[in-house]
Amino acid sequence: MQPVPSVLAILVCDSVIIDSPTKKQSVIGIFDNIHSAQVPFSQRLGFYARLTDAEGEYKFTVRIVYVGDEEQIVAGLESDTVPVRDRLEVFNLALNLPPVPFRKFGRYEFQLFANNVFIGRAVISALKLEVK
Amino acid sequence: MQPMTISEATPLGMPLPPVTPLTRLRSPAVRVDADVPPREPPELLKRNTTAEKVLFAPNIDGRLKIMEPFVVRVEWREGLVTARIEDIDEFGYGCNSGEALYDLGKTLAELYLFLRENADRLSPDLHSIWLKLSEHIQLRQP
Repeated sequence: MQPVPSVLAILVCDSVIIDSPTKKQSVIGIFDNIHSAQVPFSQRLGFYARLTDAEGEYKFTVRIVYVGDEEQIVAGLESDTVPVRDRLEVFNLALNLPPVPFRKFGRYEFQLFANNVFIGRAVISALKLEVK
Repeated sequence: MQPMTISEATPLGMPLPPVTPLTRLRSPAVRVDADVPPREPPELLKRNTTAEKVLFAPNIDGRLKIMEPFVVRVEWREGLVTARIEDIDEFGYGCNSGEALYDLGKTLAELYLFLRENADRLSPDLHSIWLKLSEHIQLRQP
């Protein structure tokens, strides 16, 4: 049976930049809270995961769920098929997500699935920006 | 006190190499741009997160690895969300599905470690749960 990847880290950030010649990634603006004067609003976000213990072909899905009073999937993205050759290899998932709609203040959970198996999550909060 | 000499050296006192070293990734990044043409949303994005079956295999404890995913039924009940593994009748709960799944993970880890420690003196019921858990969870190699 295909191994379930182990998550070493999941980060939500402003964006992930991939340098074209070297293919190295820079995770820009890691955050836990997003502040806005009002809702609804939308925001482009980056999602970065570092994984290991995988071998074979995987499709990764990121599901963003509002986990307030009424849970709702607000956005998501599925990767193309990713081949992983060596189980000891550490590899990265670097996604720049389309604008994520924030319809309410509260907690938003970024759930990561590998071939439809839930393997990890990161949580951010959308908070009201207090203007002084 | 001796004056500090500032020279072209690293903090360890090693001279700088004539050519700056290059750092590289072992494996290329998996990249998905936001600007790819829209596709049919995957089935996972069409579900109701408080009424679904989830294949569950996150990191539940640094010492353990879920080798075979559990099938977890997530349900909204009387103001709480429960995440239940029907095979072994274990569950976690919380205000939302994320909390319920997190709670379930902690419950599974505690149960596995407790049963492992007491494996030689378990009742038949607990022994059967231990066998089922062992089909899914293994200790990580130190």
